[in-house]
Amino acid sequence: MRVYSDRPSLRLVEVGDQLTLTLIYDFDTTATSPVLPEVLDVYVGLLGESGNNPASSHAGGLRALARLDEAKRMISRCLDCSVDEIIFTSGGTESINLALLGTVAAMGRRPKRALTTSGEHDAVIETMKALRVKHDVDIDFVAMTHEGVVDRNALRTALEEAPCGLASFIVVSNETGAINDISSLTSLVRQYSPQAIIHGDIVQVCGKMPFSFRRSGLDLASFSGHKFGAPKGTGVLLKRQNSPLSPIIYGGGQQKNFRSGTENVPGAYALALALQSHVMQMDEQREHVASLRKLFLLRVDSFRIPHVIISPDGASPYVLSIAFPGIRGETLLNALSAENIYISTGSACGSKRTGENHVLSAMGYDKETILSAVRISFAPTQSTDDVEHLVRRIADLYKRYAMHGKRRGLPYG
Amino acid sequence: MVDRLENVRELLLVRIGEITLKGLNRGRFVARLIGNMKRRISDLGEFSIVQSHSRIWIHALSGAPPMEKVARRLSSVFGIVSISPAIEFDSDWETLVRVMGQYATDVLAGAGKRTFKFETKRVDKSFPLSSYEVSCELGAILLEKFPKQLSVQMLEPDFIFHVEIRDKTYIYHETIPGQAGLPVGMSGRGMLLLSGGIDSPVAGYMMASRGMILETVYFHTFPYTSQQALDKVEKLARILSRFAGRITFHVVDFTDIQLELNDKVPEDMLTVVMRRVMMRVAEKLAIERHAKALITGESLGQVASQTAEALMTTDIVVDLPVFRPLIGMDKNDTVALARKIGTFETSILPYDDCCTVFVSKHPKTHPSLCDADRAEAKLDMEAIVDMSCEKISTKLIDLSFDEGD
Repeated sequence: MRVYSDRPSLRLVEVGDQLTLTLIYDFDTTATSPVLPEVLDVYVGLLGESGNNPASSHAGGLRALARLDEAKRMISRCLDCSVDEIIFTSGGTESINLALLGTVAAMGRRPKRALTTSGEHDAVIETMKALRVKHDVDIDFVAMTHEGVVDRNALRTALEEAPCGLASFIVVSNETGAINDISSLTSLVRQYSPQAIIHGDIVQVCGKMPFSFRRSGLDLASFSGHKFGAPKGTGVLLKRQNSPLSPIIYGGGQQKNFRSGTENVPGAYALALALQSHVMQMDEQREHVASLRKLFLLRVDSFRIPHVIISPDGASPYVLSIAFPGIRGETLLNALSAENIYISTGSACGSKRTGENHVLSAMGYDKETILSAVRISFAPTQSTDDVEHLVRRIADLYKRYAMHGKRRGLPYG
Repeated sequence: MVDRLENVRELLLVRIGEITLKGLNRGRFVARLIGNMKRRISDLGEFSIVQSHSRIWIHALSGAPPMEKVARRLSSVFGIVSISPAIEFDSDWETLVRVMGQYATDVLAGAGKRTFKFETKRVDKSFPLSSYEVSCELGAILLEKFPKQLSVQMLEPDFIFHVEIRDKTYIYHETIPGQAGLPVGMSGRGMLLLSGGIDSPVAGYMMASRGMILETVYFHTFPYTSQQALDKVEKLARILSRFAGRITFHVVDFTDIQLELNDKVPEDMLTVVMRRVMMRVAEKLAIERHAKALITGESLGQVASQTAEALMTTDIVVDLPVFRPLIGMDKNDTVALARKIGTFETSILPYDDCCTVFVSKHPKTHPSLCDADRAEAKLDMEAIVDMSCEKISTKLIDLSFDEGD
């Protein structure tokens, strides 16, 4: 099966020798996004080039090195960081692993205690657990407020208890879009633990909101390319120059020995292009996406679909966590999927585990609300018609499948 | 292996146990078993499969198919007790000594110190040495040939070299266990209610092992249950087909019926009524398909709908016998069997089935027949069953060979 697209929501699908035009309504762009058409052309071109290894001394290698440097310059302009602070990786998860494991291995006499939050992505939570088991690091998960942001009082209490050597915060929640004020969190941590290395998960930030690594107060920041229209298998760890770090992958000593392995030049370049494309249109895109989200909520109201908005006020407009009491999130997802409309019930990586969502539970939502919660992602490529269609379909499906009144079976009697 | 020697052929010796006790019907059982075996290995080459001396003998007719793979395939065919890969050659003493030497060399290659013994069976009494003499002589020859590696041990040695002297002579040392049971097709057709859990595939396996041809029926309640749940059930049927052969797979689109039940049935009786509807639909389908029984994975007392009272209320709505091979089994034993047949890992994939979505918090665990009838009072049961039967899609699940390996 091959898929052709010029507009992301329009798919020409080749099945066997038949071509069918299918409209796909992709409201799950927080999980992944298709490669931007203009990026795809350049990327595919680079895949076919000879000698594309920046470590080679021939002309091909020099070209590759120049392209990698250009990618770094683009990224540094987009995220307000220095070119020397960029380490290319295979994605968000690897960046996070390198940041946390690599810091603990190099943190010297800093306290072996790490702080993070219960609102993190599994990549952080599981890496922290591994640090606890394998490296004997004390891990504290700081509570979140009902709005899904870090509870500053809980953080202060945790810092007063004992100093920490490492801290990690998600900047924009992949579940709810809740935004942590990262520079105020970093200064709070530094007030108590001036030596602490602080890592930020900026996966849902890049390409979606303005971000300055320099002003964030972070020592490390991780993100992934495929969330904003670059290919999968691309990612970056930003590392402040004097932040101590040991490699977790050994080999040819590439990227100043922080991440061995031949650089993925086509991937790195595509990541930079995609990021730049979003950053250059950031204001218009954010405005458009915010209007889509507003329209969605307006229509949900006008169709009188019972709902609970889980995402807090002021959250990223790109992610909306919302529950429709009476219908399981999974049921709605299945029914929409049959009509080529894609949404998510939780973080896509974890959605195989029914009824579990550690972020929503940490925000204090009960099991019933979590079971009926869905995550709807808004993206610049969607139109108002797409959103109207989505809400109309949700309204119809809700009427058909929701269990309420005399219908039993779900906890909503 | 020893086929490097001239005039030596590889073959498989298949033992068939229970079937040999079938008296006058034995011929039909054996014919069916041989047919099932042929189908299972048809893509691996051409074979001669004949029954003689209470065993089945398999020779490759053309080419050199991998006999180990053939044996592995056949080990999942019901009716086979065990299989031994063997070699066959002319019955004379010099050849036997020469071939045995090479056979032992191959078997011992790479092995450390090993114990062994010989077991000889001489059917051809014109052979100059007695069974005992053959064992002693061959044993002595091997000890001489591998003085450092081999020693004789009568009780539980590492290797038992079997030598059988008939019109030809056979050597083997390995016995691969089969599934035993009866050949599929000898006990009619059964309609298995397949849910996607751990139990129902095991129940299907057990009835197929008694010779039943399986058809399965799954009640799909999309979108309450996902496409993945349906895919999972189909995958379970495919795993079962490694043992049971071809399976006819029916899916009932059950969503509208389920919603109607939700509207019209008291909550605490919902599961019981749902199961009664499923039984009726399965029976109607079974009769259409000439099945002789329904099969379920129920085990007494396991959940609220499997108490003696609940079983009585579901049993009474159908006339066909309901086979429940797990009824007295412990869950741990069922799980062990599910692991053995390879359905466990698929069964525990976390996709909801209708029983978990449409479930009341406090179901009635001891419903009476009266309770059940009253709970169905508002339903036009005949219409419901007819409507369900109109929404059945069917496909054949044939053994896929690369998966069956």
